[in-house]
Amino acid sequence: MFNKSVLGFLLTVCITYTSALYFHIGETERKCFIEEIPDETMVVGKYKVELFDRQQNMYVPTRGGLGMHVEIRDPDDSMIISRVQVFDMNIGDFVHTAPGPLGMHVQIRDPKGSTIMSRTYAAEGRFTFTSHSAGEHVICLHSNSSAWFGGGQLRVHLDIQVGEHANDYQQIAAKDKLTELQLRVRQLLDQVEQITKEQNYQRYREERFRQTSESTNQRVLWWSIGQTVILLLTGFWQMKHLKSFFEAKKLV
Amino acid sequence: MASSFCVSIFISFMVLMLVNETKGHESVGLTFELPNKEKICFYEEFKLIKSYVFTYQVLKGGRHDIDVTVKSPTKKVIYQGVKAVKDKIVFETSSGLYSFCFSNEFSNVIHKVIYFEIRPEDHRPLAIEAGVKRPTVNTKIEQTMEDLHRMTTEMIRYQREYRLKEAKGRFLAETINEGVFWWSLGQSVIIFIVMTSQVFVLKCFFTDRRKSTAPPEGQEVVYAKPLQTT
Repeated sequence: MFNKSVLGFLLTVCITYTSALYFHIGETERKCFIEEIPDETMVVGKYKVELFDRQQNMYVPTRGGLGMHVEIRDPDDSMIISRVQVFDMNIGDFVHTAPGPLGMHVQIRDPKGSTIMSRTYAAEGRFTFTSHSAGEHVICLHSNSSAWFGGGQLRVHLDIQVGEHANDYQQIAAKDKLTELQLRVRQLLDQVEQITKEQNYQRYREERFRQTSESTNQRVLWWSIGQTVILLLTGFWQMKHLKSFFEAKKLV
Repeated sequence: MASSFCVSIFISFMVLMLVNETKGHESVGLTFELPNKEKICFYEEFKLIKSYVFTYQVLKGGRHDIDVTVKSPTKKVIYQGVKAVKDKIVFETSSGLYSFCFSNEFSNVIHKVIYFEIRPEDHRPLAIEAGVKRPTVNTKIEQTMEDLHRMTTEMIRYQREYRLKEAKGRFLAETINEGVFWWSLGQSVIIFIVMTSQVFVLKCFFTDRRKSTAPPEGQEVVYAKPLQTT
């Protein structure tokens, strides 16, 4: 009993403190976000889903298996998501769990439109992936709600951090035994690395842009030539055909 | 047993809270597609009175326009953009829930791809980004690093801006490329149709007259005479 009340209190505390950006979707709806990132860049996404409770007239944490399906696609059609973790209240850490009854489906697509990750997770969770190829990665979320849940409203808290923002520096400092100053250098290094990657990706994108422009140029050129040829040929054929027709009819 | 369980939960939540306190309210930047006749609102709860920057930009779709409304916790409209392409606003937050709504309800068929960003106006010091709650007094070297950090952050910001502009240009170039391709195909087909139909219509004019005038013998002569004289 005491346990439950404490849990309830803590849950409310937790809700008031988790204040990432949120939005609403229908229970069967699906929302996608696009992340254009260089290669070898880490992306960390955290989400939490709440269900609208008509009796309490507020959004409450979903219990009993409302989860989210996460789908991630990268530009090379390869699976990039290696693992998805879910926060376990009993253990107090992110652990791998089997999808509960109401979860979240997260789908991530790469620039070529292939799915790199597609899995269903619990109502609150975290997904990380490192991009193998540069380009547009599509992250899609929808709940694993079944049809009879139907018209409910979901509130989805979402926080996506890319690049050096995805790093947990407290963890890094503890693991590599860095002093404060060393950690600052490390942070700066990560930032510079991110800039380098972005700059490199910029080169690739500029190339792609130029290829598109050159292709347009070629198409316009060949089409103008092609059209002139078509016009000449059809005009010639028209004249020839009509001439023989008139001659056959003895009109000329 | 029960108490230790409680404590473990409490600690875990404290950890969560700490993580949220230190890591929360970093800049948010999202790109999403908004279908025709649809509207979406994003909500962000601010706890500190601070200056924030909100920028948005339509990257793809039609005339690159979108309706944008930003509301304060008191439901007062602090910014409204009607069929806007891009904008940047700076606003002082008061503690509470802000809503950022994007509406494509005026568009009947066209989907829009929108990028938006909410970030604090000033940059976060390195120590804060590393998760230190109260940074200590800086030494000279730390100050220098902070300057470096400010510049690299600025660089990342410029790169992002450039990337978005490039993306917008690229989408346009791709649309033109495709447009040229399909139009050229369509135009070729139209030329063929017009050319052949012209010939057959012209032939019909002559054959029709002969057919309709053929049965009555006497009339054929009447019609044939003016034709031969011309």
